[in-house]
Amino acid sequence: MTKVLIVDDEKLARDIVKAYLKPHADFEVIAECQNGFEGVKVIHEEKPDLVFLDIQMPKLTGFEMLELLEEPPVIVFSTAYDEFAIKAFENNAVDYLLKPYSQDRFDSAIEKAQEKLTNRGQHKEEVSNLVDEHRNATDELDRIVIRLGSKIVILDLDTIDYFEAQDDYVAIFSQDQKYLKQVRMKFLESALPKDKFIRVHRSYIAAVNQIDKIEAYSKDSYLALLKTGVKIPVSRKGYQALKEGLGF
Amino acid sequence: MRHPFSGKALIFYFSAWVAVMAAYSFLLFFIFGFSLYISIVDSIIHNLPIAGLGMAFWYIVQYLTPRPDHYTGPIFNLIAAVLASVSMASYGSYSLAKAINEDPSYLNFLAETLPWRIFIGALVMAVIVMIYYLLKSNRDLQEKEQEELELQGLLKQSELDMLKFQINPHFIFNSLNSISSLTITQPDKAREMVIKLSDFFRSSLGKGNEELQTIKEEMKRMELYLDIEKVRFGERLKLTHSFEDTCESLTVPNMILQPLYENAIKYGVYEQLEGVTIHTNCHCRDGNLHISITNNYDSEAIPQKGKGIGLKNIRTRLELIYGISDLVTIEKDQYQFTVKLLVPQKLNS
Repeated sequence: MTKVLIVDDEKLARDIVKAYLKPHADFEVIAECQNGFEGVKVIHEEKPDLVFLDIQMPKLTGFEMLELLEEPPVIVFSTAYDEFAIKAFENNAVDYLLKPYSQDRFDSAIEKAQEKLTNRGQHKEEVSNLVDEHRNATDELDRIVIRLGSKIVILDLDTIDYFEAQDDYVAIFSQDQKYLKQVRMKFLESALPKDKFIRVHRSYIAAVNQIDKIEAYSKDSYLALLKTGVKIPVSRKGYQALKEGLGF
Repeated sequence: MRHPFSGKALIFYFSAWVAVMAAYSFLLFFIFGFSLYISIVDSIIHNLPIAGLGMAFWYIVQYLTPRPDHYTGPIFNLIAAVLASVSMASYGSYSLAKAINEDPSYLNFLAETLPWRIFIGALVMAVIVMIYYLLKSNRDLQEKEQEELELQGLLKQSELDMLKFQINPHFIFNSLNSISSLTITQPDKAREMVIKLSDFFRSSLGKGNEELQTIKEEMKRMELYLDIEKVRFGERLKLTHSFEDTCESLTVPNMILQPLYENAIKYGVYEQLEGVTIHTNCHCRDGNLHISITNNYDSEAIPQKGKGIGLKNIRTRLELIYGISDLVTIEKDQYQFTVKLLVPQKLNS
């Protein structure tokens, strides 16, 4: 039996997934969620095999949900209209349904999903590529979603002081709090607004308006003193970037 | 272009010439002492051709227009044309006058004055040509202004058309998906929704739609739109109204409220889990229509991107139609977001 979760904020949209799923006797709908928060929670608790995931939802979009999942199940996206998403999908193996869709189209999505179920490792890779690709297709990041145990936090970029790379994670320092998110520095560097954040060091990205002053540390390195009193290292390359960004 | 001396102006033109001819005869009669008959005949024979030529020169002026970057050619041509035509006309008049008169002193006078007559004729023609150019440039200027006005009107119209209503593809495809789902579970409701969607599209897409319509009609249309959204969002979307009945016949630009409802739904339904209540209030004060649309929202939420285009469009549209800015105001507190529209009832155009 394949455990299926449906995440969509519109009841009628969930209904049609259930109706189309009826002929597929070995698929069982274990739950329905109407927003991204519930979706993340249920995926962690119930571990469904296959998720039908709408993109545009209250609070968390389908893509933001994916960012929060360490072991994503097999995903079939659905969207009514989203230029950026469709662009991202075009170059990606993750399947997507354009609303409204037919039973035939749904059946072929099920068929593809079955193949992916036998090869979850590859699918995980595809999902993370899709998230990256979607990020590249859209404008700059405007908020960051983080999971804190069972809680989901949405951080406004304006509240973030700096990012610090820590192994596979990035520590985000915001209003005296430290959050961990599984993301790559390179991804953040390209997705964050260039006028607000500067990569000052291999392991650090600082918010420009948080930098109080910069002092020399050794011959080739500097220290940035943040308004909060924290000092973060600045490499020679980072110093150049700051010079260009701040124009000093 | 119409000849400036046509209709009433033609009578004026020839009246002026009659006056000139009278003065001319008077001169010959009193100063030079010719007989009245000779004076009048000489005046007519010499002046009528010039008067006719003057009429004809309008058409030449049409094709010879000196421009700042190109004036020597046309001016030279014009002088040549004036001199040639006036010489020929004067010589014709001279020959005719010579043929029908026998008075030797007059014939002598005729021969002596031929160069002078050509010279004076050319001067008169020059004055007429100048008048033509003056009239023509004046008319060109007016036409240009008219054209510019028309162009501005067209531009304004196309801008208004652009701003009027751009159906959100999200709305279309999600509605169609809802219908698709309803056909399986509740075919009756599916049919109802198809009809509502059609009515809504028909009333909003038609090109023949008036720019302004009554608030009653607008609300009827918005009801169709909101009914469709209610089918999609169910309990998450609640609507309340308060209306002054006396406002019913006041006008608003059509579809002006749709982006406001779309925004309210987007903020309300997409940023909060518990749903949204949208309250619409309509009242009239000082003969103007005041509309406010309020939705509850989560001021703490960090909204997803893509907000504000709808509001900007409405602002621009109202400004284009009424010529007044600041007809849209926004009020927000911790829980409620309100957009207020002031819709004037007199067009300022």
